[in-house]
Amino acid sequence: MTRWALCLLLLAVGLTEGAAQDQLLEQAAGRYAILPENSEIAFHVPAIAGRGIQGRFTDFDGQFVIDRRDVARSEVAIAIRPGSAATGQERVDRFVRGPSVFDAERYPEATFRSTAVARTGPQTAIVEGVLTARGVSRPIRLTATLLSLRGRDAAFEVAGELPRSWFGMQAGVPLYRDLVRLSVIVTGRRR
Amino acid sequence: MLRNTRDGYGLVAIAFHWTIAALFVVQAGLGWRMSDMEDSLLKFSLYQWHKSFGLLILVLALMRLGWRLANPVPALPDTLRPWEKRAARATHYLLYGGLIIVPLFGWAVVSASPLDVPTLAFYLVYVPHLPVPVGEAAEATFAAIHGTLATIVAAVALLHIAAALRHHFWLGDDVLRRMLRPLAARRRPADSPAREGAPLD
Repeated sequence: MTRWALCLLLLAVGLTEGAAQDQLLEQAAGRYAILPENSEIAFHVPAIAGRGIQGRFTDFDGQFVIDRRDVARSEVAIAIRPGSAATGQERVDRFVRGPSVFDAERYPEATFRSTAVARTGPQTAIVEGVLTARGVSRPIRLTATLLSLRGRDAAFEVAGELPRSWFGMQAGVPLYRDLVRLSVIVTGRRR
Repeated sequence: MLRNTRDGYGLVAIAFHWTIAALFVVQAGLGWRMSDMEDSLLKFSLYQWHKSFGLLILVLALMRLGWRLANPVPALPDTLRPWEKRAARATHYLLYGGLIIVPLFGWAVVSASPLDVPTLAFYLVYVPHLPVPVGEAAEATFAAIHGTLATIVAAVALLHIAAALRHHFWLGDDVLRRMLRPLAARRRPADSPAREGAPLD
């Protein structure tokens, strides 16, 4: 008898959660343009000691689509101008923007285009996609968390780690790790 | 053979002298070449090598100072006038001091730099920063001192080379020769009975 009750309870919880998810999705569905002024694309390259290299891109744009019925059909595309990389240190900026790392003159744009979105929780998803930087395209995986839905604006926190050497940007290894951590906040406004 | 005597340098002192001399030439060349380069991967690499060689010079110079303190110092030729002996000794003190102080100021530059570039000497040994104030101004100050002192040490080294050549070619004494081979090795042909008639110096 107790077993039946427990099953029913679990079913009820499952249903409510599903309903809540769908409600959230319904509310968030739409086509969004990314608002750069309310977004941030930060990167961190850890070092064997000290702070490593921390910075952000100030020039980027993009859009995302949240599908009304199926999260998996959502999409995101972002274009970043790596010439806007800023670390707070002029010498590091020149180095990072220059031919040693991004080579922004030859490769003025880096892009991310999603290929698959999988929901992992009420407000979280894994976004797989192709990152193209310095002329190299590689599949990468990012995690996304819904931060807020307010009016026409939706904000997500996106994070991921990838080897710099994938894109020929292993400058400074082994003093600096062959790794870049991306931490992104994207705010989109529904069109 | 390994240790110094009052008459000549041992093998260890000779090895220290020429190893540090070679490293100093490489180091001065690197330092002079890299400082006005554009920011690039090559410049970054050259800085890492300069840091590595500098720390190696510092370690060797300290070991060399210890060796010198633990060994007799070969006497200068009696043919030298007092001012020449004083000048020779002053030059040696300046070189010893410079080979320790210049790398320390270089280390201070790295430690003061807000770039916070870690040091992995020869890509093998992690070397922490010195406890110095961090900032653009501190970095620039240490860099100016480092560069000026390095230039002075290079000038003193040139004076030292000129003096060695003067001893060898002009004064005809063994001051340069005794830094090329240990005394025992130089004496051997003279001591050998097979070479009768060789002058005993």
